[in-house]
Amino acid sequence: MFDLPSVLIANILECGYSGGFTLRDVKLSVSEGEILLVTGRSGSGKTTLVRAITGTMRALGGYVKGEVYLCGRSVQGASPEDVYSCLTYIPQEPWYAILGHTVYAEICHVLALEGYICSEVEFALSNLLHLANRLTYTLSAGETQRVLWAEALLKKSRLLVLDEPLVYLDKSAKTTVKSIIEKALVEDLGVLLVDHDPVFWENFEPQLLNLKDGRVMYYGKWSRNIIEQHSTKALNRREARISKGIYAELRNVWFRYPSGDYVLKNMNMTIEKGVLTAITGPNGSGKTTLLKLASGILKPNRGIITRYGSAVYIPENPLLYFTMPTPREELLLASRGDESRVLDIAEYFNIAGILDQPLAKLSSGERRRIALASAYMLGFDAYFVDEPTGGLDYESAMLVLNVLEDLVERDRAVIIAAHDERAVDRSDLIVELGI
Amino acid sequence: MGFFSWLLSVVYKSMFLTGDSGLREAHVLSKIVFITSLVLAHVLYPEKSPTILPVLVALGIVHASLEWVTATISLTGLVGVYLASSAYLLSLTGLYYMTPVQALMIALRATTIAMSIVLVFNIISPIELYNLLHVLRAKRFSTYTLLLWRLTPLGLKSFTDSLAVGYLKKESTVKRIPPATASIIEAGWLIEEYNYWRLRVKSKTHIPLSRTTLHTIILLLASLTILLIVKTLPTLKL
Repeated sequence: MFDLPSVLIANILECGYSGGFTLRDVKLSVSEGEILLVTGRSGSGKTTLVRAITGTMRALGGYVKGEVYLCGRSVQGASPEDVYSCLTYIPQEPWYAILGHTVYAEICHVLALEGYICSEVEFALSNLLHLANRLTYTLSAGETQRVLWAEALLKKSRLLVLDEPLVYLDKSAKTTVKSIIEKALVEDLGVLLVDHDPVFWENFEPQLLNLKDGRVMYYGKWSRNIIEQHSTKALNRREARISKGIYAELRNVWFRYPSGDYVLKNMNMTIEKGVLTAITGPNGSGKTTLLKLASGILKPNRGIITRYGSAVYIPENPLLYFTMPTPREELLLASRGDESRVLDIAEYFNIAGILDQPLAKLSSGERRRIALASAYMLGFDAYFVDEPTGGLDYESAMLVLNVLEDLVERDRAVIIAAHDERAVDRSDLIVELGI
Repeated sequence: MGFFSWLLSVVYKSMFLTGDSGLREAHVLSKIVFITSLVLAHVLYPEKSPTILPVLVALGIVHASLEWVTATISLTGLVGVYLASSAYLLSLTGLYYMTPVQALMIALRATTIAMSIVLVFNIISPIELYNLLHVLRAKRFSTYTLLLWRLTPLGLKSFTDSLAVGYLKKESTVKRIPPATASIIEAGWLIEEYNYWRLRVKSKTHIPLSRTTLHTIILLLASLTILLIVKTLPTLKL
């Protein structure tokens, strides 16, 4: 099949994992200069669809019945060079899409695979000159996404596949993303976006594909009726809660990572019980670092942190939280073997249907809910949660936020680092870093 | 958070603290000369090799920082102390005779050899290896050199974070090691998935690497100093 007008054509009869989740009857196409927005609740099949389209399904032990054509060539028959040249995929966990040890090595490697010798010009054009010598494992999630965006444009791919691209971005970076998409469309790139909240993309009036439980519920033109079922609803503001005591005090805290500059300088802060505190700020401003310091994972270079009670930290990658391989075992460990309590909590957190699935195979949203359920059962005095609603659909995000508020009502200290306005709006106190 | 976390932290600092700066910017020939001088010092003058330790420390400060030197001395010193103490303890059984001064020499020599290896690892740039494999037409594997320098610190970071969360959950370090290891494996799987096609594409050209005359001269002078030290200093009779 040659010279197809679309950069992506998929006719998927069935795909998934034997004995596990399946996605059926998906027909879609993305033409040059067009956006297709895939939306749906957590676990609806968005990531499975992305894996089928990017040709990684079989490599992950899954199967695809049907055909996927990228830039006119079947993904199964095309050479790696053809697929790589056609496609740029930016996953929800962007740090795993980086191969270079420095930003310089990362960008230059992408260009080297395309046959270009990199120079300062590419870094200047991409506004990444200041990051060129940074070690990639020291980048924040937002900075990592910026690097991947730059690569996509420098590589001149014809199709961009973006899985929840806004999760870790601050407001200014989100605006930048819009301008990048505009630029991509002008250059006739096709864009496949996966986002739980379609409203952000309204100005582009993209094509919509709505999934539910592995089935296509809607595929067609932009429709307000469809998106209103899935968008962020307005939240009822209420009065801020009053502190029920102090959990921790940070006095003149300074912190820097090895070989880096100071991330936090002379930080003073009091962490209150019975209050939901949101840490916000631009990418790389030290939100995660502050959570790690306050919870006791990191030690300050200078200054004093005094804590009054136990704490837990749930990382933005919740896999790092778990001790056991399945949700049931993790929750049984947290409940000291109380099966009935596990079932109650599983119901409360809407994870009853996935209790026996390996954690490694669950979606990011599901993992986050399970980590929170485990921490909830363990009963700490303070909960430090990194991006608690990142990438979650409205219902899942509200569930998580309700649980956090439940903890606050029980006079626990709850501190979140968040870009997500849904989470920030529900907080009682906002601490903005990097201003 | 215990010995294990400290150990991971010093491994991380001594191996992956710097990017392609410092002595990595020295010319490749000066690196070959330097590695040769180290090998000669350790093989031909093993009893005098501890005398080059100050040169290695000075190079470490030039290459990275005092923080790197502290971490590297801690790590390599651990190796030295382990080997010396185990040899000395075994001598107490009567199998052979060893004085405390001889045990100290074992510690110093092991530390110097270990520090030489760590320093050599630090001055070799992954981009240099990438370009070398490209020239040798092993283009499909060249990407794996970058991947090694990317995945190892990322895995160590995941491992350390996982251990730290386990510490907050009041789990023992021993119990936490399997899930922390699983987090490294998971990171490997995800890198494989998200870079599925990129890892299968052959490199088409090299990656330019900046060179500095200053670091080249420093490395050549260090090589000369090492050879002069081991050649001219008298041997200690223990």
